[in-house]
Amino acid sequence: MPVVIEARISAPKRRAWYLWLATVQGMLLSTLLSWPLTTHLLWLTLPFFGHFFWTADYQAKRIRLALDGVQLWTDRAIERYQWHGEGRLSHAFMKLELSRADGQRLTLILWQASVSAASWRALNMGFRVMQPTLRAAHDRQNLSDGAWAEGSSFFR
Amino acid sequence: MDTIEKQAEQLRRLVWHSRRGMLELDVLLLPFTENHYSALNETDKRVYRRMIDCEDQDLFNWFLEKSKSPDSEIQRIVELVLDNARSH
Repeated sequence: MPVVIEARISAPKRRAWYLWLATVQGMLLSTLLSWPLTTHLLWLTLPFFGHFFWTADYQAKRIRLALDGVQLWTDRAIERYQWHGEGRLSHAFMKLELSRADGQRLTLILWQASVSAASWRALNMGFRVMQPTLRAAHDRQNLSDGAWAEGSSFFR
Repeated sequence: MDTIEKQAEQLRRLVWHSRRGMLELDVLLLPFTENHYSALNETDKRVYRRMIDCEDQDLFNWFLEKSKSPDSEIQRIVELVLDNARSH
């Protein structure tokens, strides 16, 4: 029975606050360095660009990770993807390269601030435990026995 | 108290001990205790109980494969728990 992890995803709470902080800092810097007024105004576009890019992200409300099966709850439907161990884990986010049976691909980025502390720790453990196995299984599947042996001889 | 009751109590106690201070360990230990512990043989059950008594930080390192348990029996159980977590 694989490890099953479920987590609720919400918009990171402090995201807007950090953006506005960066904007104010930028404007102060422009003032100190006596840059022209247009530079001050350019800083004001930062929160809007940030908001635009983040709302363009894939919006999932909940995630269920069970070995290579990933289910995502969106406003409209429950979508099922497969995870082959590709992705990246950092202290701030988790990136999962997902694919569907019909070939559709999705790069899901889960920010630490968008899930609870408990969910983040559980997802972290799930990622670390499952990734090596899934990646190895995917590599074996994609490479023929000969290619696998040939590839490994390269490192000798 | 008959044997079945004793076993049930032991399982309840183990489930309780599987809830650790580290949530990362709960993810692995709780499902294993609840779903697979009863199917282990007596030797493995004994080793599993010994493993549960180990420190959280040691368990964390063993399960993340950062290090191996110096006790080969415990290491075998760690690998068994990991295999279960990684299998369909």
